[in-house]
Amino acid sequence: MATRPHFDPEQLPLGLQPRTIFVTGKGGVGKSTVAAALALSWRDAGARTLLVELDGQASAASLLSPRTIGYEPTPLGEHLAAMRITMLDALKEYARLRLKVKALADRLVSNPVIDQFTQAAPGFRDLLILGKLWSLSAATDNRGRHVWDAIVVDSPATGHGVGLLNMAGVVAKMFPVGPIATEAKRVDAFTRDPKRTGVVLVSLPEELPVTETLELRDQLIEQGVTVAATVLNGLLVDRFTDAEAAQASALEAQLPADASPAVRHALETVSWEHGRCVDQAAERVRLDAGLDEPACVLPYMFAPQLERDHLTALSQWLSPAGQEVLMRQLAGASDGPSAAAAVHAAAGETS
Amino acid sequence: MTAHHASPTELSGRLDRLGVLLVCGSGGVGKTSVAAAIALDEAMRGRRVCVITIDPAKRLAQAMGLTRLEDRERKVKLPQGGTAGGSLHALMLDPKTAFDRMVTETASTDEERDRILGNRVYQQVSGSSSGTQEYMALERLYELDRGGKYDLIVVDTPPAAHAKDMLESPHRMLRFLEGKSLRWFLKPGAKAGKLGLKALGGSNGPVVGLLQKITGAEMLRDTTEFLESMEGIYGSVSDRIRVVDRMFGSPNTGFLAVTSPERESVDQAVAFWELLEERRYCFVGTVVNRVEPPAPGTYASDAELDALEGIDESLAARIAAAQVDHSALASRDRSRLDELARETGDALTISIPRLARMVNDLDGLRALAPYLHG
Ligand SMILES: Nc1ncnc2c1ncn2[C@@H]1O[C@H](COP(=O)(O)OP(=O)(O)OP(=O)(O)O)[C@@H](O)[C@H]1O
Ligand SMILES: Nc1ncnc2c1ncn2[C@@H]1O[C@H](COP(=O)(O)OP(=O)(O)OP(=O)(O)O)[C@@H](O)[C@H]1O
Ligand SMILES: [Mg+2]
Ligand SMILES: [Mg+2]
Repeated sequence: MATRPHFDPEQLPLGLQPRTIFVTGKGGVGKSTVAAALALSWRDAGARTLLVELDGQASAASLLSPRTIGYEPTPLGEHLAAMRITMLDALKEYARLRLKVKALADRLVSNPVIDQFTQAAPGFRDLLILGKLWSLSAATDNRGRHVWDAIVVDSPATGHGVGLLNMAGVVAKMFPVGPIATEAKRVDAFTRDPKRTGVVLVSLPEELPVTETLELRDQLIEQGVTVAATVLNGLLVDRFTDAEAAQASALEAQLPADASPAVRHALETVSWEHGRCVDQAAERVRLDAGLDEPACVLPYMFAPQLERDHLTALSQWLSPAGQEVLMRQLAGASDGPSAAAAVHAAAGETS
Repeated sequence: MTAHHASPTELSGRLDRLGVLLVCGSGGVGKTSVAAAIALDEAMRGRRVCVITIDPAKRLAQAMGLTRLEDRERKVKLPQGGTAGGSLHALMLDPKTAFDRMVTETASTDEERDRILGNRVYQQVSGSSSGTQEYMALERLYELDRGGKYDLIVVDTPPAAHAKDMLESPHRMLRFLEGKSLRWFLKPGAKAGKLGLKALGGSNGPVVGLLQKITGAEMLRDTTEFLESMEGIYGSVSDRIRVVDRMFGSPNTGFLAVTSPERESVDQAVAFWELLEERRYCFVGTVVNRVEPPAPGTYASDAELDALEGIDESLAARIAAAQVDHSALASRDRSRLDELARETGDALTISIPRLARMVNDLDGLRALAPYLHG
């Protein structure tokens, strides 16, 4: 899809052209958070954006709105809507399409046999969900324009996420003829078309998540799925230089036994935070070494709980301008700690 | 049971009464690390322990001598300084092999076994990681437990959306294999051969016909054949599943929840505790992992920071800012821990700090021990 005139290409988040993006990664790395921030960021760049949650735990939309999200897209302000796709809803719709008679479809879907069938039939559930996403991405309005420029899918954690994107191909191979084969092939082509579909991998600057992200990336590429971007989430921006951290440790070691606990803690915090930054930087290097392009970065937000304002801030960090500032500050040396303070201030401002 | 430590801590006191510990929690919270750390610690205390681990970090697997998926227990060389008699074995779960073995053990004839193992729907379903993994961990547990070689078996669980997924896995497995809906498909006597089409004649013919319209004959037939092939072993498998399910309620079995200090995670732990209470299962406690190190609750004043040697104004300001940020998280975590302790009755609440460096080997695991024991 060509860039629409109303997009400012300079403003597109993560350098991503609008399309259907599956946000995935290991459990708890921030998939829902990044999905919500990415949706906001795209919307701000002028794209009509749909944020999609799937069956189960996904919760991206609830970060943006307290409203209950259902199978119909719910508007969340201008150019942004959210919906939740469950297997049952998707099955209902698919059955109506194929059987053409609503009563028949409803009769089928309410039959207990269906429940067992969908559990046992390999890939059937995934196919229904992907089929719905395909139809959303292809939907046009009465002027022939795409209804959605961008669709962001808060996808299940790693293992299951790969399964989801791989399933159409597996089904197409297992059942090469019949209506399911037609559907599987269409959906498979959709998930492998880099113009229509991409994956955003979310990772954390820690050993296991980075290793798993690199493995997952290889797996996806092997399957022919495009990894559109990798986001390294939760990076601490170092407030201290090596020398300052060393100085704080030395001072801490010299503190008398009866020193104020607040002073002791303050000094401990310096070496502790700096130590983590050093480890994180090493993991970031390891991640980038395994990627074609360096990972996009998102800062750790110091807040007891992420609120709507934090998501707005994260969505701004995802913009090209935000990324540029962050990258520079993570590089540290040149701008030094005062730039780091700016990131912390920006994150703090919103809380 | 075996040799006791001079003065067992609260956790080890509770673990002494158990033969099985299930470590549950959502993805990435630290289940594998905590399960392995507890297993190692109990082995060092002189018990014969086995840990069933799932997808451990490569280095941790290597440290435990698990170099590949082989579905066999491996003896782990214990560090010096443990109580005599203790031993540690580790096993890395391979769900596909465990599934195959269950089929092999329950099939009454070789033909029956081969028919199932050769079915392509079976191959797809048994190999996919989601869904069956939890149950297969329990299958392995069942076998090891029956072997009687261990005083304590610690079971790590696969990343789940909810801690309770583990509890539901036997029932999910039963429902999945259940013959009842199968009979919906099959007219009596229509067993052999061309199922899907014959079934169209039965009272459910219309429904099956509708289903066929949306899936095509092939998918319907293969899936039906798969379910039908399982019917022969359904009886013995469901007996096993019921035994496994009963293990949950045994006074010898305990559950440990692992969570992060984040709101959703803590709420889930409380819900998990409630569920276990309701079923009268033994809930040992919650491990809250990656807790912000405690803060004194007061801040160093400007004067105090200025008084430190060689700290200029800019550095003092940054130190102060860092202290405020970390203190806020520490106080959030403190109140989450208190809340958890309050809301989960007499269960233990154990906190492990977010370590600046987490080493994924035996020494790294041993470093967790002091926190486990408070
Ligand atoms: N950049 C960040 N700064 C601070 N906290 C964050 C950040 N990103 C995510 N979090 C917090 O981390 C936790 C996990 O995030 P999130 O729910 O987005 O992860 P997930 O990958 O969707 O998890 P799951 O696998 O359970 O669906 C949440 O409490 C969230 O608020
Ligand atoms: N307290 C801690 N401080 C720092 N790092 C930790 C801590 N606990 C665990 N980790 C690290 O976090 C990573 C994930 O831990 P672990 O594999 O135990 O989680 P898990 O719950 O088993 O994950 P999964 O759900 O994916 O199986 C590991 O690399 C581990 O070393
Ligand atoms: Mg999520
Ligand atoms: Mg694990």
